[in-house]
Amino acid sequence: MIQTLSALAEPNRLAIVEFLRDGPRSVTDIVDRLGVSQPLVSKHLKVLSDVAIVQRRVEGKRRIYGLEQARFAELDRWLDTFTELWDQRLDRLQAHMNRSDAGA
Amino acid sequence: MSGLLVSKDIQNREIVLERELQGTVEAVWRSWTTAADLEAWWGPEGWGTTVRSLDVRPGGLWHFGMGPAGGPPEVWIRSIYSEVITGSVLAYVEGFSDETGADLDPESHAVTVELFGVETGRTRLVLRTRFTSVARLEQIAAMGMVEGWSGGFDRLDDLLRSMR
Repeated sequence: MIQTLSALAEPNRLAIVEFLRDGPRSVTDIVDRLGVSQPLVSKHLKVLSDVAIVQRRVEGKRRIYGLEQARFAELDRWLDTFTELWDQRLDRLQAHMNRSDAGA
Repeated sequence: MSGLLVSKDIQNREIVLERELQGTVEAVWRSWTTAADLEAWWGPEGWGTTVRSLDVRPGGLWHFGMGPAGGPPEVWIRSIYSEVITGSVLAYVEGFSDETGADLDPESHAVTVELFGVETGRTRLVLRTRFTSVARLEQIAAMGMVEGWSGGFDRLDDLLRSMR
């Protein structure tokens, strides 16, 4: 999970992910959209591939990148779980304080 | 509705939770810093907490185990307090441990609990969790990934929502 977050923490990589939200794109499209060099885009795509945020397929000479939905579902679940755990814990804290008041 | 507010800051690797509680700042502080109180509420639900050490001062150890109610602890956590301002700030670095209190976690979380009295008998609790190690942050900063970055997590939130 930390790897996913780290990979997304770089502005160009998040911009790539936002661009791919509308559907898979070729490397050329991504280079045009971001306005950064092709080698840099390739480097970012490699980081995103390594943590399985994007997946690649080859169509002839073109490399097409798309989002790996499972990764985002996992990230979402992780954040929700963390939040729920604390919400429930604070429910118990509240109940505990209510009991303590009653006993005081 | 518990009224829990959640914000996420990817630049600082931080999740911030805020919630208002019925109870004085003193009562909330006592609940966080007294072994008997912690054992009564920490949980999780259906689990018991056994506090082995609770030395609430900077550098002090908070060591506890959690396990199914009635059974021995299955999970051990150790925290070292980094900042303690009575009734106001409780900061600690938390990681997985064992029964001896050994530091077994290379990716410990930094947690800060802040308490604010908002009106008579009510307390706003702000809980910040920085969920990667300092080493990890330094590594990321060194790679230039954090430079010039702002507002990332809100965008990420929107992104996640749009993908549901």
